[in-house]
This record gives sequence, structure tokens and C-alpha cells, in this order.
Amino acid sequence: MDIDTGSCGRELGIKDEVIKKACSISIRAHQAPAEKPFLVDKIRGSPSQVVIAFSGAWTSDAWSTRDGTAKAFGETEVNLNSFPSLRSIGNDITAKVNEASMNQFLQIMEKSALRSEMDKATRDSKPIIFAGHSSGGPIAIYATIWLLEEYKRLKKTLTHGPFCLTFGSPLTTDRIFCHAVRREEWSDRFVHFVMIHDIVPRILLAPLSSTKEFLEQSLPYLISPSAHHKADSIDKSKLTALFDNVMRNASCVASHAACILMGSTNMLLDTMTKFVQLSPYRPCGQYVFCTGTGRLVVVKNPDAVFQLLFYSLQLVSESESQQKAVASLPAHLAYEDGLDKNLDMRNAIHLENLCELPLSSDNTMDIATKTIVDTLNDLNLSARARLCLRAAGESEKQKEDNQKKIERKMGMIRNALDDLEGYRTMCETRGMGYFDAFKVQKHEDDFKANVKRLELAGIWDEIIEMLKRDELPDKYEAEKSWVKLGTEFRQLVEPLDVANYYRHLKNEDTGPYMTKGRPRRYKYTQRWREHAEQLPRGSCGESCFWADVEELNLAVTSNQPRNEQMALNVANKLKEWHAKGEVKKDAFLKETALVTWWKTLPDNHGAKLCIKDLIES
Amino acid sequence: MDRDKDSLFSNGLYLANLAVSSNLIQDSWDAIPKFEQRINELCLLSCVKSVFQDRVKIKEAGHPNYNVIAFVTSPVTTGCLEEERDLVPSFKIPNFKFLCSESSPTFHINKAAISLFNSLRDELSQLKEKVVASAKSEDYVPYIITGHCLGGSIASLFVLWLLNTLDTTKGTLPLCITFGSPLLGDNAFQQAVSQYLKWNSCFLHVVHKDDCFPRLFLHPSTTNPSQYKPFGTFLLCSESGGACFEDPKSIMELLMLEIGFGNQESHCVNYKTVIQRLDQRLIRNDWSWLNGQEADSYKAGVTTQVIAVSLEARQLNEGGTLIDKIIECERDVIRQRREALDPAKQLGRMKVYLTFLEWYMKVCKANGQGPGYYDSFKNARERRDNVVDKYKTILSDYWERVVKEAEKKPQIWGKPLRRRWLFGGTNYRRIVEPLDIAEYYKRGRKDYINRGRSKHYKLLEDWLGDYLKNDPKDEAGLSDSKLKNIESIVTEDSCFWARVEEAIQLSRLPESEGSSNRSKIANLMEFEEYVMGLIKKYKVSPDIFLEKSSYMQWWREYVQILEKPMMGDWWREYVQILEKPMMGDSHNSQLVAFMRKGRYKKYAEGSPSIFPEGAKISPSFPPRCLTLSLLLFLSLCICLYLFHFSK
Repeated sequence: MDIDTGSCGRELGIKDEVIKKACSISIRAHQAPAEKPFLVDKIRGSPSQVVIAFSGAWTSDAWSTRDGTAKAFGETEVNLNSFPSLRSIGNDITAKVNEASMNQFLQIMEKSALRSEMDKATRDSKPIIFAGHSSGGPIAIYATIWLLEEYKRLKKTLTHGPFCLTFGSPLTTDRIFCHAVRREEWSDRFVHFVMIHDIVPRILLAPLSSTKEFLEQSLPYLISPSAHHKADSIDKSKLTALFDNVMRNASCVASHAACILMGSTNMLLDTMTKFVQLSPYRPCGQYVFCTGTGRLVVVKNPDAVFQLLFYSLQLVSESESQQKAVASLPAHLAYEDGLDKNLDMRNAIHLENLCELPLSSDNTMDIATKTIVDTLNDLNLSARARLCLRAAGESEKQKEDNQKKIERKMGMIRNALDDLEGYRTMCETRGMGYFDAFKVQKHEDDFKANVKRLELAGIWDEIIEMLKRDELPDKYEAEKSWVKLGTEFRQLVEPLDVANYYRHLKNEDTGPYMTKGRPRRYKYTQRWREHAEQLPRGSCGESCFWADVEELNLAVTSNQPRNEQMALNVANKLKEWHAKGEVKKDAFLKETALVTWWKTLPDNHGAKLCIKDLIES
Repeated sequence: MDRDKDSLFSNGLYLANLAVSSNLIQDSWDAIPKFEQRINELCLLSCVKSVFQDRVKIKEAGHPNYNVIAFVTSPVTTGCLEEERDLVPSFKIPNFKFLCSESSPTFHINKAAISLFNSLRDELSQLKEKVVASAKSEDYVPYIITGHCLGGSIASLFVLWLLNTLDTTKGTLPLCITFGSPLLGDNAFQQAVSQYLKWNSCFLHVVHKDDCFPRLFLHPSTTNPSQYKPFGTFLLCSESGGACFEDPKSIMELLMLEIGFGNQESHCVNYKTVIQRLDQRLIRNDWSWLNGQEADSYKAGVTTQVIAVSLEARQLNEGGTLIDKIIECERDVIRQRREALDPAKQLGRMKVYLTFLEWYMKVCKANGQGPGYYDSFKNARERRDNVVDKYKTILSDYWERVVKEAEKKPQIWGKPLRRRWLFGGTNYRRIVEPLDIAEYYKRGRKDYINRGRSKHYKLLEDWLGDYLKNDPKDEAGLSDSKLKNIESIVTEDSCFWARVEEAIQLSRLPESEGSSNRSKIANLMEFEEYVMGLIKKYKVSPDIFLEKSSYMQWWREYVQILEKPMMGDWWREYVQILEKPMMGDSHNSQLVAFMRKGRYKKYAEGSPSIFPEGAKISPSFPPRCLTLSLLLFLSLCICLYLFHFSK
């Protein structure tokens, strides 16, 4: 095993020269005049690559809040029109990012030549590497996501897809952002370099109000060109105060995350959380920590990265406080030199097997373990920090085990679905749609189908519950086999749920099925499919049109005015779904609820004409 | 060593870190203004209650995210407190009656704390009003309630009192943070508080390892062993760190251990410096190493916790068994919690069993030829009835357990059952209880409702009633679709059959004269009205009209009584006594008419014309709407009129 002498590039799939180049361009980007928000450069090779580096800005108008409504950490939801993937699918939560940096990106997209640069590179099949140092980092991230979304929309392969390299970038994306990126399997395309003593990557873990002065006045002045030597001019006591503040907030949010990772059962955590403001930002993508000893540590587990961001900057002794605080600024400016040196040492290590990390140094160890122990020492990690990393590894493993557990139930689901399919065919031979047969519950088969329905509901509800509690791997909701099974299940079984709902008149207690009674197992699986096939939201309602039919029928019996729009909609959609084979012909058999309703329509009604052929054939 | 299969972790360190780094503890302590630390002087004070009384001050402080209320008491000496270590039983503390439950009917609270609390009752109830009122407002800012030593005891009692009044479903929980408070109550008290997980989660007790007050009552007194027991979460700390513990047993172990080594004299801990130290520790690396390659993360976690609370090396060696003990206790707590977290799966299975019973109901009807499932279960024992027995037992076991647990530990605040369980339980009650009734009367017993009914049915029914009361839905809404679906109606009153059986027994009573006869008639009349009420609202299953059912049996016997000539005399006599105008010469109530004329046969078809004489339920809103719109129209006219003239 040669884990100790590997080059960083090989661990990450990027060449060392590319990293160096990207880094130096990113730092040069700060010198560019304001009207040129990014630099473009080429790296020769096969294939040759294009580097686009952003400078970003810590300017005050970008960070300050426009009105009183802004959040303490300046976060905002992303626009799903531009970034449709950036959400959790089933739970339906939109990702959040730092608003100021996102606005900068949108401005650049709108006003600069970035689009054309991207198009050019894509045309020549040259992979683009988006890069950014400091405030340029978040912009590079958004640009990468933007292009990845474009690739996805056009269904292009990612062989020449974009990469993103950031250096000392602050955290600006939340938990859902990370979840979505991992689900789309884009995570390995993001590599973030962090000097362990650099304060800036952690800075947004503190509320903006407390760091604003530093971010707006001192930092831009420092990272601007020819100012590197001015680092000394910063007021040391102010810097120490800032350092303490950021670290205290980092400790707060890292402890909170650790409690959750460890599966806290003490509800004091929930109660306390209501009193505390926690930064929403979490790391996303691979991280490379550069230790003071010239080691590069690659970490992929986002929970572990988050804990490391806090623990690696902890003080060793109390007296060190000021010293470390003062050192935390030059560290932010030293990426170019530092990386050059570290990469040349070819001393990279991928921190894996987190569950089995040694908690302390021991004399009796083989070389591989010793390397890990040294690495952990270099990262400045105490036993309690290592326990957090173990918990992060364990949580990841637990999620995978959970997926295996439910995958073993796939067979059971399959069998039950086959049985219900049989039930449907049998109803059809009886000349009835299975929706109506089930609603009447006359025969023993109807009852048996009901039992099958409930068995399936049990299994699926368990899966949904796991998703809600974030107990499944990020990629689960995009797994093709599950999306397919979920769709099959939904199309076949949901009509039975609708039938059951209206049979027991639950609509009278709780309201219409679609708004009040629809179980989550169908909402989630519908969203899975819509996401996988990039269909508009709510377009896959082929499994629940019966609910609309029921409501339409109820309107007829209670002499309410007909909802024309709904009627037309249902008819049009039905035609479409039938053409695609998603709604089977048994829906149009003689005595179904659908046909009953259809017959109440006047002859010249649009909806009547629309599905006339289907019903009469 | 055997690796823990559950891969548990202990998060006491991180929880403590959160409490400190979030500034919650700091802000709480800062809200408590300090009395001069004149311990020498205080020792001279005598320990009569009056000393405690007028020395409590209530201070409030505002923060951007929360308000802090601090109870400030003058310092006391251990000696003073020791004299007040007695426990007061709950029946003497009317304010906290709500903590009593069947499983812990009585509990005890420390005398010093409760007498101080009682002396402040007026101020506290004003304060309570204020907090409760603000909890209802839109921009609610949550409260931290805090106090040092006895002030902390008051804070704890006040928060408990508050929790009982607050509408805690909205998530507006207060947080109670105490510093160095003496233990407050006994084992039953701890049980009572922790029966609601959320209540227990509101208490954080900060205790320094050298502080002797928190463990004062743990010493056995001269006569008895100590009965005190901690509740809530304890943040035990020393100058070098802190950690949270939740299990009362392990907290006691740790407190007791300190007694052995620590300083037993009255030692005044300055929490200000302690908190400062903890605060500085936050961002400092903690290099307390563990020996060897500890594979069990849980054990490693607990060990670091115990080290953080600063046991010296000597103690730690002896503490090896201590750590094992703590591991066991805290691990048990975690396991229990986890199990309690996912009860939904079983509920799903129960739904399947209930579906089997629904099918059984269907089969017993046999397209109108059968007797219905009640009588089928009662009389004809076929094989299918035995299978039903099995499902019934499983269902009853499950629901009896759920109800019992919910009674002790409500699933959510103020409501014993969550909606899904409440409705699931209602379905179960309506379908399964008739089977219990069938068994009861089959054995020839009497008076099921008062003597035979299982408690869990009653509770399920009461809880549904409470739910409907709080969440009033227009029950009268009798829509056409309900008429269409009469077939699938399950009788709403699960005791319907018991009432039928009672009516049958009543009808069969030998005829006699006098008052007993009169009450018989009155009871039968009442039953008639009851049945008719159900029928009118379509609250009864059409199964009861199956020719072979017990209900029809009752009807046939009843008709015979009515038709006896003698009977006619009784009725007349009866009517005269009761002076009921609705009764004519012969008894002809609504139900009798409904049954005699065979209208019941149409009940299953759901035809709305089965009720003559205006029994049809008319929707209640149109007249109201009409009045409203008239009013609106009138006011509009007036407005227009005025407008016109103002020009």
C-alpha cells in the first residue's frame, strides 16, 4: 500500500501542475480591474484545459443587508429555475447559499463574457476548471454547478465536464446543497484547499454582524495586489477578538453537528437549539487540508470535513491564542507558496476508514497506522475530535447499511406488485376496472388486494421515514432501480389508496385526497420520477387522476357547478397518459367511475370529445 | 473486547460544549445579580423560613433571541439547608398535583424549596401569567429561567409549573438553567417529570465538582438513607472541562464519588470563574489522551467525559468500574429512547389485522343472509371465528399496551395519542369491541358497560371525545355521498350491542306491577330514542337490520310486548305519568313507526326519504347566510346613501 507517498493529484484526479496554475491565476485574479471579474488561461496538454478564475469581492454593498429582513448569516434559497437540482427531492427542501456571493455570480453571468467563454471551451471539448481564491471561491462553485446543470439538461456526458478548485474559500453553501451535489455525483468535481491555520474558510460560521467590519475593511485591503506585506498593519487585538469570535461560533455549530452525528437521544439538544443561532453553511465536495508540516490530507466525508474545519484550528495552549490569531491571516495569503511546497513533497494522504481511526498514539503500530496517527497529530486532533470523525464515518456507514437493508426488501415489493397486477387483470376479465372493484370490496380478492396494499404501504412508509430522518445515502433518491420501482408501485397501487379513501369517506372528515389525504409515499416517488426524467413539477399525476375523477363525480351528485378547468385537464392528461401507456385501458371499461362521470358531460363538452375514442373503443 | 453492535456514541461532551459556546450559560449566570459574598455573616443568620422569604428577587434581562428571568436568593449555608432536607409529600402541594399519575400517585419535594416557592406564590403567578401571555403573541421570544442554589430550585419549580400551562405543542419551550442547586425531589418526582420527554428536556443543571450543595441531600441523613434523585440533564464541570449526563443513576454515581474525595466543608464555588474557564477551554485543544487503541467509541466517549469532569488519575483508576457503571446506565437510556422513536411500523401491521376483521364482517353478512359479525361471533362457532379470535387477541394486546403507555407518557403534549393513533384506535374500538361484548353476553353475564368494559376502550373513546371537542368539525354535515356509502358504515358507538343486549334482557323481565315496571318502560323508551338518534344520523351500520341479528331479535320480542293488550294499559298509564305529548293512545314512537313500516329495509340503500315528519336534517347554514347577506346588502345601501349625501 502506498498511501503515504501519493501525489495529491492522483488522489483527486487532477494533475499537480493544474492545481498550481489554477492557484496562481486565482490569486492574480484579485489584481484584475473591477470590470473584468475573471481571468481566463489555458493549460496545454492532452486534452488542454481552460482555467477560469474569479476574484469575487468582499465589498460592502455585496455583503451588507438591504433591509431588516436579511438572515443573520446572509443565506437565501437558490433559484430553482437556474439550479433545478439543488434541492432534496422527496423532502422537497431548497438549498440555501450565501446571498451576496450568489448575487455576484448572477451579475457576472449577466454582464460579462463568461457565457461565451464557457460556450467556447465546451465547443472545443476542453474541460473548464473554475477556480477562485478567498471570495472568488464561492463564485467558482456556482459557475461549476451552473455548467453541470447545463450538461445535465442537455444530457451530455461529463467526460469533459467542469471541475472546481478553490483556495481558502469561505463556506457559503448549506446542508441541502451538499446533499444535492452528492446525489448528482458531482461531489468529486469540487476540490477545496484549506490551510489549516487560515481563518477565512470558517469565517461565515459566525454571524455576519460580528465579522462585517473585518470582511469589508481589512480583508479586501489585504488580498488586493501588492499588499501582502501589509498584513502586519492589522490591529492584533482586533484580530484576536475576531479569531475568538469565529472559533466560538465554529465550536457551537460543530458541537451541534457532532451531537446529531452521534445520534443524540437527549432532547435537551432540541430545546437548546431553539435558543441558538446556528450558521447554516456546510462544506460540499472534497477537501484538501494543508498542514503546517507540509502534509496534504484529502477528506471526502462532508461531516468529517466540517468537524475538521473546527478542530484543526483549535489552540494548543492558551498562550497561543494571539499568536494563532495573527498567523491566521498570512495563512490566507500563502496558498501559492504553501501549495507549491506541499505538492512537491508528494506527501498526500486520503483519510478513509474514519470509523476505525486510532484515538491516540501507541507504540505497537504498523507503518500504515503510524502514518495515519502522524497525520491526525499534524491536524492537531484530540481524542474528542477523533471521536467526531469516527462518528462521521459511522454515520455514513450506517446510511449505506440502511440502504442494503431496504434493498433486501425489493423482492417482497416485487412479489406484492405482481400479485396486485394479477388482481388488476382478473378484475378486467370480470369486466371491471380494479379501481371500482376495489372501492366496492365485494369479493375476497378485493380484500386480499387490500392486505397487499397495506403490506406495501408498510415497507414504503418505512423508507420515507428514513428519508425524512436523513438515514439513507445522499444518492439514494437518484438510484435508477428505486425510481423505477417507486414509479411502478405508485402507478399500480395509488388508485387503490384513492379508492379506499373515498370508500371510507375520508374526504368528508379531512378534505379532498389530493390536498389532504395523499400519503407521502406517493408524493415522494412522484418527485423522484419527475426529477430523474427532468419533467416539470407535478406533471406525473398519472397515478392519482382517480382522485380528481372522484371529486368531479361528487360535484355531479351534489349538484355543484362543474369545474370546467379540472374536467378539461383530467381529460387531456388522460389522453396523454394513455398514449404513453401509463394509464391502462381498464380505466375506460364500461362501469368505471371515470365513465360514469364522462356520461354526465354534455355531448359537445371539450372533455367529452377528448376521450371519446378511448371510452368507446 | 466486544465491539458494540449498535455503534453508539456518547455526546455529553459536545452537548456541554454547545451549552457553553452558545453563550446560554454565560448569559444566564450574568442575569443573576450577585449578593455580596459574605459567607461569614450569613452563618450567623438563623435558619427560620423568614430568612428565605423576603430575600428572593426576580430579575429580568433581555437578549436578542431570548429573555432571561433570574431568581436571586441570598446565599445559605449547608448547615441551614441540611435542616430543611425533609421531603414534603405531593398531597400537600396543590400546585403540582398535575404531576401525579397512576404510575406515580405521590411524590415528594424538598421542604426548603417548596416552602420558598409557596411564599412567593403571588409573584410567581403574576410572572406566569406574563410568560403565558407572551407565548401567545406573534413575536414570541423564548424564556430562559435561571437561578443559583435555592434560586435554581425555585427556577425549576417555576418552569414545571409553567410547562403545565403553556401550550407546548407550538414549540415554545422554556429552558431552565440552574447553578449548583440542591436536589429537588425523590425518585417518584424524577419519574413524574421524565414521563414527558420534552418536559425533562427543559432542565439543565450546572454543577461544579467541588460544589457541595447539589450533593448535600445525597448523604444519608442520621436516620434514613437519602431518597433524593436528580432529574433533567446535568452539566458536571471542573475548571478543566465539562460534560453532560442524563441518566439519574450515573449522575448520582458521579456526585457521590465526589463526596468521597471532595471537600465536605461548605465550599463556595464561584461559577463566574468556572464559566470563564470553560469558555476559554472551548477553542483550546484538549490533550487528554486515552490509553491504547480503544475500539469502543462509546466507552472512549464516556471516559473522556469523566476525565473532563476532572477526576484525578487516582480516582480514575478506581473509577474504572465507575466508568463501566456509567456506560451501562447511559447506554440503557439511549436504547430505550431509540426504541421509542419508531412505533409507526407496528401500527402499520395492526392495520392489516384490522382489515382481516373488516373482511370477516363482510363474510358474516353473507349478502344479507347471515346474522352479521356480532351474532356470528356470539353464536355460531365456525372455523373462521377461531381465526378472528387470533387477530382479535393480537389487536387487543397491542392497543391495550399503546393506551397504557399513552396514559403514562402522552405521545405529544397534552394529547395522549397522535392523530394517526387516535384514529387507528377508534377504528379498532368500533370493530373489535363488539366482539368483546359478544363474548361477555354469551357467558350470560350482565351490565357490560359498567362491569365488563375494558378500560382501554373507555379511554380511547374519551380521547376521541376530547379531540373532537378541541377540533370541532361540523358533524351535522350529512352529505349525499354518505348516503351512498351506507354499506361501509361502521357503528360509531362501540357499545351499541351491549345496549341491545341490555334491552333484550329488559324486555324479557317478567311482567310486574309498580315502580320497577315503570323504570323498565322508561329504560326501553330511552333505548328506542337512542337507536333512532343513531339511525337518523346514519351512525349505525345497516348490519343491525339483518333478520338474524340480535337487534332484530329484540325488535320482534318488543313488538310482542307492545301488542299484548295488557301492554297497552301500561303505556297509557306510563304516558299519563310522564305527560309526554308525543305519545298517543297506543305507543307509536318514531322508532316503532320506522320499524313497523319496514322503512329500515331501505336504510341500507341510503334513501333520504326514509324519515317522514321532518326528521330530515336540513343544512344549518343557509338561513344564516341569508341573514348575513341581507345585513351586508343593507349596510351597503346605507353606505351608498351616506356617500351620496356627503358629496
